[in-house]
Amino acid sequence: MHETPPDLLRARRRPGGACGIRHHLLVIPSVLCSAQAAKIIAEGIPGAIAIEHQHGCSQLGGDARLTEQILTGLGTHPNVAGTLVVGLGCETVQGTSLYRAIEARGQRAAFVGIQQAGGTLAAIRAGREALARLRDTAAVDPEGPVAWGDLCVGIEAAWLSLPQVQAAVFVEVIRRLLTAGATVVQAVPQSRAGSPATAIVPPLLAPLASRAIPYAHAVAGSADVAAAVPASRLFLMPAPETRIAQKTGLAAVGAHVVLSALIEGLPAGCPVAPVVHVGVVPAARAFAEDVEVMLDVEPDAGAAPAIVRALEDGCREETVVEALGTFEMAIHRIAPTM
Amino acid sequence: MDAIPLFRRGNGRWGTRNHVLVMPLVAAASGVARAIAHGTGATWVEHDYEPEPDDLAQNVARVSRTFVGFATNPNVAAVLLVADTARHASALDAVRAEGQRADLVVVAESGGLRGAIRSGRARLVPLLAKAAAAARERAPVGALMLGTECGGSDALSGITANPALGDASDLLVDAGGTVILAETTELIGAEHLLARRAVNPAVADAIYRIIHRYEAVVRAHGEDIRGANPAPGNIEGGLTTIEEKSLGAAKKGGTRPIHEVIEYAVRPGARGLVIMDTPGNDVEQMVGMTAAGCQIAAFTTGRGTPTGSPIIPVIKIATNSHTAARMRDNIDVDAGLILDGRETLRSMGQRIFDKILAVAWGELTKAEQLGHREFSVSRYPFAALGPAAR
Repeated sequence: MHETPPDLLRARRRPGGACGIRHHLLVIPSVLCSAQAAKIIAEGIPGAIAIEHQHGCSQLGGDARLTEQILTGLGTHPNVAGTLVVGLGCETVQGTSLYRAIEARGQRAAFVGIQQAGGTLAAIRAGREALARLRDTAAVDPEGPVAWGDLCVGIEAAWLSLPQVQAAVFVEVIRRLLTAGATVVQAVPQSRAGSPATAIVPPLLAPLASRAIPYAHAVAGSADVAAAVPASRLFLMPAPETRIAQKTGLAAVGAHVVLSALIEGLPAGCPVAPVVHVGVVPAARAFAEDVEVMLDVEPDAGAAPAIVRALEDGCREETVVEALGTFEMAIHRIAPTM
Repeated sequence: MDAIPLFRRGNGRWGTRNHVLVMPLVAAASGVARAIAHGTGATWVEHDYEPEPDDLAQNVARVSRTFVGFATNPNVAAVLLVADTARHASALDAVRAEGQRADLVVVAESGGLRGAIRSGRARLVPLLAKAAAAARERAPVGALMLGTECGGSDALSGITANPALGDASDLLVDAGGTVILAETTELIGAEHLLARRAVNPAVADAIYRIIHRYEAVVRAHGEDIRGANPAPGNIEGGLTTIEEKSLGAAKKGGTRPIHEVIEYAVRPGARGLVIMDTPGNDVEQMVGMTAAGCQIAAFTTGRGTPTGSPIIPVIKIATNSHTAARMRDNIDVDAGLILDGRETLRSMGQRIFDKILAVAWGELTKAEQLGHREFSVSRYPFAALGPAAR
């Protein structure tokens, strides 16, 4: 907290020591069946965000555990000041178990179950009271200056397939972030046939020291990271090829902010971490108003500093997608629904 | 009663509701779809389907027919599709080919997210006007296609609510209607009883085939189905094995001959009782039956499952009076009265049938009143089996 840059980043300090650049109250349904109640609970409560996902029921063992792990990662994200789990009661990813996992990681947490409470309306009443209590206790988290050394940047994989001159800009962004002390988690897509356990080091990143972590495995704030020298704070995370599930995985790891190269598809937000979009010319020309910064076909020397500045801005204030009030959710699945 | 007022669609099908639907064709368009529909009176869905370059053809086909079937369900008067790029917009032609009134917003061609929301709002206006002009007309009861489902089952599901719903299913089939029995993983162990009621050996074989296919895929993943099914809540509710759950679950479909076995989200080619191959997951199953054309669903529950649908009314039937009383905000019919001796299976079956007709006519279900509109895209589940999946 001492190496404050001139253009100050600010964050809330959580009781466990982590820094949050947002102050969300997160409402997580443990199963799709409780998503509607979760949404209504969050409505009208400042700072409250309800996730909607389509999982938690009829999942096979390892797949159900992965869903629970991802939801636990989101619920304990440093940008989240408190988490309310809304369960149904009969689901596979049990709400009580999810709640206990979140609380065990030191997060302020509360639980309400629809069947336990006696229906949707009773659960909504109990949930809104619990959320108000979380909001009140979270209000004490002190705000102060932070530096990149306190933060983790998640980077989506799309830039890895860019032409050399554009890809070089992202390598330079990573180098600058590491030099500034940031932890960087780079998503590396694994084809369906590829090993899900480890990421293959992309040739572009070979010159930078890196370490592999499992998908959606919490890294920010871990003792491992704290002990690492800055140059080796680059983590490679195997990830699905789909972009929204990548964002979710990066957020579950604890990335404070996500950097997304927009090459195809649409800008998309993430519920807990701001997403800073780099519109890659020519593909993203139509989205000039929806991204934080554009990247030319032949970028000049100012391109990498501009992206780092956009990340800093994204830490400080609302991103375009946040201002639109929209985010998307997708959870990586490893087995079919039963 | 042999006729009820329903909405007649241009393609000759009948709807119990009159929705305008905003439907994203990729996950990233979900936020735009929500923003377009917000405050307009249109309904919408959100989902997490992201197309992948190396997606299996079976998965692409399954997801695509789910979207097209959902968008052309007769409860939908008109639909606005939202795609990210023109490449993912082919559903428009398929939807129109079904005689559905439809329009499309392609976000990448609309000046970005804000432009797409503006454009979508403008395109929604004539679709809403078209829906507003629709009126109910006399329709035969046999025009109804009922989806049957059980979720959060307990030890009473197979004793009260499911057999009573089975009686109602028989009444609808006898009136010329169609009933879908689904959730294959919850028919495991009851296949021999169902196969006996198949109208011919090919249908009987198909019943065994879909059961064996799900069993094989669980084995191929090296997993045990217990935990997913029966789920923790089922076990707490007194169900001990998947077979026990299945013998109760199969009763929802009644006792009439089984005419056909259809794949997920495929429209039945026959009237009467049919089986659809779906996961047991409540919402994926409901979406599959809705994409097949069900205009209404009956859903039995022991533990109390609150889910509904964005476009079809879902009637909740409790297996026991405790859940019915405790979750009265969610439950439409209390089949626990059978245990008290205040109703018989037969009288409860008639009561459920009457409720189906009343709801088809326009009475709102509890799930509709609470705004429950869950949606989930079912992925092709049999990839691990390779070519053996057929």
